[in-house]
Amino acid sequence: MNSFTMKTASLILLTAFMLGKVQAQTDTSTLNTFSLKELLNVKVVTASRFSQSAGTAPASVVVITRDQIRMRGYQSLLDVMYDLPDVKVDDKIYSGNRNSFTVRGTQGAEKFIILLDGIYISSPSGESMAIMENYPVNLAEQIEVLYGPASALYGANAVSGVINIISRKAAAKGLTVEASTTGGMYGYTNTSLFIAKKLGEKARFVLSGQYAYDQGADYSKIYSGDSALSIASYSTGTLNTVFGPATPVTPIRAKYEAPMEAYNIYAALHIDNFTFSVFSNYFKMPSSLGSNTSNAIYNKEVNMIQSITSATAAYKCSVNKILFTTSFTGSQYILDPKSNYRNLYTGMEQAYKYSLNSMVKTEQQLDYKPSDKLSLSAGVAVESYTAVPQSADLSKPVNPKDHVAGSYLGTAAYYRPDGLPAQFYFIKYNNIGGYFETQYSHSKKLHLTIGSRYDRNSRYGSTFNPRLGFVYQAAEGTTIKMLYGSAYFAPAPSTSYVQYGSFQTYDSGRTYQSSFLHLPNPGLKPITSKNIEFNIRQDVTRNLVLSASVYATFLRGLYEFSDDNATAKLYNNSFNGIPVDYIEIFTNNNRQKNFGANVQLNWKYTAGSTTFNSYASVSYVTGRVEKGLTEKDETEADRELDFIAPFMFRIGTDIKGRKFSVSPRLLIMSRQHIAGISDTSGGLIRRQTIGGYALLNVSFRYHATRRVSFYTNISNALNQKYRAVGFNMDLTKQATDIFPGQPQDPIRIMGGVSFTF
Amino acid sequence: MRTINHILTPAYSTKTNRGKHKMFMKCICLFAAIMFLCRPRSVAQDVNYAIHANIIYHFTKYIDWPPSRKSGDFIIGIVGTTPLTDELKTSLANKKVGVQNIIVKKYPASTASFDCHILFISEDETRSFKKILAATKGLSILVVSEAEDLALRGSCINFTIANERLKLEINKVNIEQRELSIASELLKLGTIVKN
Repeated sequence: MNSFTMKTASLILLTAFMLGKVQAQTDTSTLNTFSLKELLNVKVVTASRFSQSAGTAPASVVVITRDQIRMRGYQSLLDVMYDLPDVKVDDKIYSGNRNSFTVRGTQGAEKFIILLDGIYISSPSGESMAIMENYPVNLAEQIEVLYGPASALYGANAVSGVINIISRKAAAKGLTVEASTTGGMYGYTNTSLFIAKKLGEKARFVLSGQYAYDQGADYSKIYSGDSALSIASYSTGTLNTVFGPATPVTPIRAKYEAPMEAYNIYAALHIDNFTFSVFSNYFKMPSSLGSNTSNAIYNKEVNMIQSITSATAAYKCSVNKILFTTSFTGSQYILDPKSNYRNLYTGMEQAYKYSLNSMVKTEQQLDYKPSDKLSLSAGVAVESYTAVPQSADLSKPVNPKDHVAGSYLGTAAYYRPDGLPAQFYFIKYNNIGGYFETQYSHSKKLHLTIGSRYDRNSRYGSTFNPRLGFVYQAAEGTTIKMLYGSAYFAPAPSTSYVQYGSFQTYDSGRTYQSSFLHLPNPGLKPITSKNIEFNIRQDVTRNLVLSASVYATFLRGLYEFSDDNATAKLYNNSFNGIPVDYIEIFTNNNRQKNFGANVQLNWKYTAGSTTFNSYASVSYVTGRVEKGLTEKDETEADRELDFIAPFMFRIGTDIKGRKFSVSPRLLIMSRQHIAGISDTSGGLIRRQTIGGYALLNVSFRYHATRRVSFYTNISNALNQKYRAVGFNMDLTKQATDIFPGQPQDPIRIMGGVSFTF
Repeated sequence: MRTINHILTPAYSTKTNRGKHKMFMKCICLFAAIMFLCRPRSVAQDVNYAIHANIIYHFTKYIDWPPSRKSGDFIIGIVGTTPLTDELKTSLANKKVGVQNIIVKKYPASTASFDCHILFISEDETRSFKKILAATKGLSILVVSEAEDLALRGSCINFTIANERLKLEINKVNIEQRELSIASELLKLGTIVKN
């Protein structure tokens, strides 16, 4: 952080202090004029950032409550994602980070952000992370899901949406302890603990943790007829890869092993207006996902290990009608040096990876509500980053306690017994962002929102992201929203600086050369997104709500693999003096347009002492990818989107009696688009498709006593052998390392017990 | 042709680590200073109990007490330490229920007999809930609570928070067992809970 940014931060904080001299007051004088119905519609939680109701918020929002989390047996954020309208989950598809989420046609787990009580718990530098039990739901009071671009509020990477996990607070003076343990088919265990305690009048403490281990189903047996999952070659030690037979030096165990492990820990201490919280998560998962067994090794030590640790200290002070929030955050992302691939591209030997990124951030926010009709929010955030982006393929794990160093895999030779030293990059950059938002309620029926955020980043330049919202209550129970939002995806260091490829020597290590390398492009710019949406909600009765949305999203600057010589010309066929036949880089080359609509229904009703909450949604999405930053630059016809299923239908009911609850949930997915091309004859290049599926998940819970309940979760209850979309799938390729649709888990039955003390 | 090499530094160095550490310490010191300077400032509460107070006043319009309870002061009792006590005193100052003056009175949880019309049991005293119910059994007291499932366990009206708003869980049976009657308008605004 340079001296200017330090001075800026100091000035803002000093201003907050000076203004904070005035005594606080609470504006409750008008409440006695409210009817009971109006009082029940007033927000009681006043200290949260940009607090708004889902009904009048200038955004499409879905809220999952704690009760729903329990009834539906959600064990992780991944379980929640499966049930969200407009979200397509493709699980166990990606060697880097397990799963993909396509939200309203925008693909990528890194393109939405995850917050815990408003604090960023995604990778601080934008690396794509697996979503599984590393993100907690056991501590959630509710989970708020906001759809669409929202960088005007949340800064970088809020491209397809924002997930905010609101944690439970200490409930009483006494100690609250909740523990649960789950076990089930194919070696699944999951244990969680939640402790909350009030410490006197002004202090409270929360501690939560969760650990999950999944041995996983043996796909070589589940899909025994599928040669792509046969492990016969593991016994012989020679694999019939698409590059020809390969006999690695490192032994292969003749077993299909794909275990997964994850944990998360959260602790928070609230004293008066001061909050200190720490969140840490971890996951370990197979790095061969996405490749068939002839071209990758499914052994338990072949895995990727990533973790995030973040700590935040925040202070709120209320001055007249102004709420000042000062926060300081430190966050770190680690790709563990033992992380490795063992596949076709590493010669079936272990190729190690490493990355370490950290961020420190200070933010000052002011919320001011001069009247019931007007509210203003503004803030400044200063962030400083250091990063060692993901390394090339290394022959040995980096020792991070020592000098960060290593050698390229497969380069050891007579004259270079330790191999060719690998290039590591160390980058430092900072970001200063300023934002404001104004909400004006002209009447109880009309709410207008305008906001924007400007960010200046020393690595990739400046971005400006406005937001507009118009919410109108057209009639009793009818709410119309017209929304505009924008966002940007900041290129993660591990994307800008990604490097892979191999080196050869033909003179025993005196010289090296390469036929292909993918190398860094530090000039990679952000991907931008703009979205317009029209939403109508009709409260047919108090218990029956219908809503419909139509949206269009425009993305620009999407990454493409490009020939360096034909685009940026960074390397001139040479890397650190080593000649390279072909150098590939990422460039911002493509645009994408998504168009979609959804209809949602929510119906609550009671029969005797049993309550029913039924819900359903139908989502439709289409769109096209355009090659070229402008129409003039286009080099070929537009393509259909991949990673989408044009139609998704979800239906479910939460049934709650006095002692039990049952929650069946059905997802029907239409045919899924993959990357392969099926038809180039028309004006729009068509994608190949793989079959859709019907996924039924059912949860039961029985409350034996007030403090003890037993539950059962059945996933894929119809035992469908369904497949998900992975990267680069092409059904026309005979010799390929990629599945023609990623196989998914069979039926799995889990059972567990939870205690409340 | 642009060249890339000048932008990139080969590896981590202890020098850059020291620089990062120095900057980190500066930020910590600055933040600590701000925390210290701001510490006397007053609190922005998580929950605004002024809304509870006004809603409780509305209960007096939708609940009918027996004739024997319609003389003397109208007492709203509080068990537990809660900001609601002050909010009730502020919000209901100079207000009446019919001809009755409203009095806000604090009770210990161990009180043997309660002489109030409405009794609010704060979340802090949930563990004394059974004892308080026993002490008020059969009395025409509207028992109001604010913890999970208490309407099922004997409370007349229970406050919950959902989507940042107050919700009412109403147990009509418990209310009627106390010889109180509830207006349908109030029932419509809450969720009916059955034992």
